[in-house]
Order: sequence, then structure tokens, then C-alpha cells
Amino acid sequence: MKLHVKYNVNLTCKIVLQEQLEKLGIPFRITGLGEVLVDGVLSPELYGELESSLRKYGMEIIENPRDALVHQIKDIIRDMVYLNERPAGSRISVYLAKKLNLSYSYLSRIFSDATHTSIENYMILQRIERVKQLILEEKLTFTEVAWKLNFSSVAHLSNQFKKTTGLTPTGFQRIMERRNIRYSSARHS
Amino acid sequence: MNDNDALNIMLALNRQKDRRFFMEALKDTKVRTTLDILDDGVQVMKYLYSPGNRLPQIIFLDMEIPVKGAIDYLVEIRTDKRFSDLAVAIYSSTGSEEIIEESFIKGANIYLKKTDDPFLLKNAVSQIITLSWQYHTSGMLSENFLLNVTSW
Repeated sequence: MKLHVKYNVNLTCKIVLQEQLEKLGIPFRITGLGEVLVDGVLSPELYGELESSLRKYGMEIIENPRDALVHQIKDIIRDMVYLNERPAGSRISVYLAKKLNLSYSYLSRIFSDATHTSIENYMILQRIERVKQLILEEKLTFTEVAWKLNFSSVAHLSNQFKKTTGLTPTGFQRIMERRNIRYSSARHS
Repeated sequence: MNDNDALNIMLALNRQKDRRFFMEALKDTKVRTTLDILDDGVQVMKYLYSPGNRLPQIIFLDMEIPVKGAIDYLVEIRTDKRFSDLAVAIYSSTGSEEIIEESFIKGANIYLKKTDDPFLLKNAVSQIITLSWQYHTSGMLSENFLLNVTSW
């Protein structure tokens, strides 16, 4: 039997973070995605303990403010794609600049220096990943996916999919279905 | 995973010329990379199975790699859960739709068609490395990572 579990990554991470901070008795306030304000300065021992307890969950404290900014941009893009958090009609550049209160040219330079891709390309990549998920896990049709992710048409979705992966959405779906059959039967035999 | 870390790459290619092309191409990508070069599939598997070795995030396998050919090693890698995050790229001279699709079904993440044009190869390698880097640093689901670079 195969169960499909849907989860909210942001919520999960927030809860883990809360639990770990509480366990160590650190007074805190979560001020945003991946952003925590603690009272005063943590002792090196406590900092070390927090670091190692978060590491178990694949979380790490980012020390470099530029890295932190890049993570924030990625989180915002993820939310735009996964939770549809974007005011209708607004451009990514305007939305990001407003949300982070920094100029878009600065954000885009920091982002491409760190990730070697542009914010626009990263957004396209995340959208295509979301398309894959919706096709495979929620079994939506291409028309439904295009509508859900604000593509202007199925043709637009297909073009962007092909440009990003070198495959058509139909080809991708067929490959993944056959791959799953192949490896799940191999595992059970 | 920190954005400042490097992407570990393993090359298992037959022709000296291809290796040279790849190394040149890798030099020009902005992503920081480490490189291990192995001669055949037996060496590759031995390396992957040896505890303590630095595991690659991406491996380029020549379709005709000795001893068994890339597809056999691909299946071996894909049936071992330890390597579920390892992206496998098949480097092949054929552009046959059927063979490309079979490679993906058997678990390849990337299918790169051979070219003797160093400029085209450089662009393709750069595209592959940049995309792998995003998967690696953004916690994206690696089993959904499929890239077909055959349009020449």
C-alpha cells in the first residue's frame, strides 16, 4: 500500500524550531520565515546546543546575512508557487522588493552570485517542480495544473516544461509512471 | 547544505577526448566543483560502496562504459537506497527516443547526447551543473529531477 502524505514544510519547520528552542529554555519570538529573535545574546554553549539539536532535522543557523537573505528570497518564491501567495497582477520584482524592503537590483545580484541562477529562472524551476508534483501526486490534468499555477494556457505550460526539462509533460508523466511500476515491483519481488 | 559548498562530480567516460572536453567545461562553470575520474563501471561501483569515500552528487556515465555498460550500473545504483540523492547522467552517442526514454525509466536523471562541438558541450554541461546545484541546495525532490539534453 502506498500512502500519499501532503505536508506543509513551513509549518513543520516552524514547529520543530519552536520545540527545540523551548527545550533549551531559550526565550524567543519567531519573526518570519526562518527568522527568530532571541532575548540578548546566546552563550557559546547554548548556541552550540541549539546548533546541534537543529542539525538533526537538517536545519542550520545561517551566520552570513547574505546567505540568510538568499534563503529568504527562496522561501518567498516557494510560498508564491506552493501557497499561491502573490497578489494578483503584481510582478515578482515588485513583490520581492516590497516584501524585503530592498531594491530588486540588489536582491537579484545577491541571489545570482550565491545560486548561479537568476530569480526569474529559479521561479520558473520551482513552478515546473510544482507542475511535476501536481501531475504525479495529485493526478491533476494539464489543464487543471495550468489553471492552478496561473499559466496563461496549457501550451505555455508545455513550452516552459520542455524548455526546463527537455521533455514534454506527457513524456515526463509516462516515464515516471513506468519508473514507479518498475521499481516498486522490483522491491516487492 | 550551504550555498558555499561544492558540487562533487564523478566522471566515468571512455574517450580521453570527452574527459578533456568535460574538464574544460567544468572549469568554466561558476559552481564550485570537485572531480573524481574513474575508468570503468566496476571501479565506479567499488568506489560508491567503499565506506568513507566522498560521495558524488552527480555522476556522468558513458553509455558504453566497460564492463557492463551504463544501464546496468544505473539499475544497480537505483536499487540501492543509499544513492537515492545521487543524480545519474547518461552520456551517449544515440539520440533514439526509445533509448532515451528507457534510460529515464530505469532511473537516469540526465540524458546527454554526445557532441564533438566543444562549445555546445560546454553550454550543456553548464546547464546540467547549474540545475543540479539548484536541486542540491534547495532541498528539491531529486527523484523528480529529469533533464534531457539531446537537441543537436
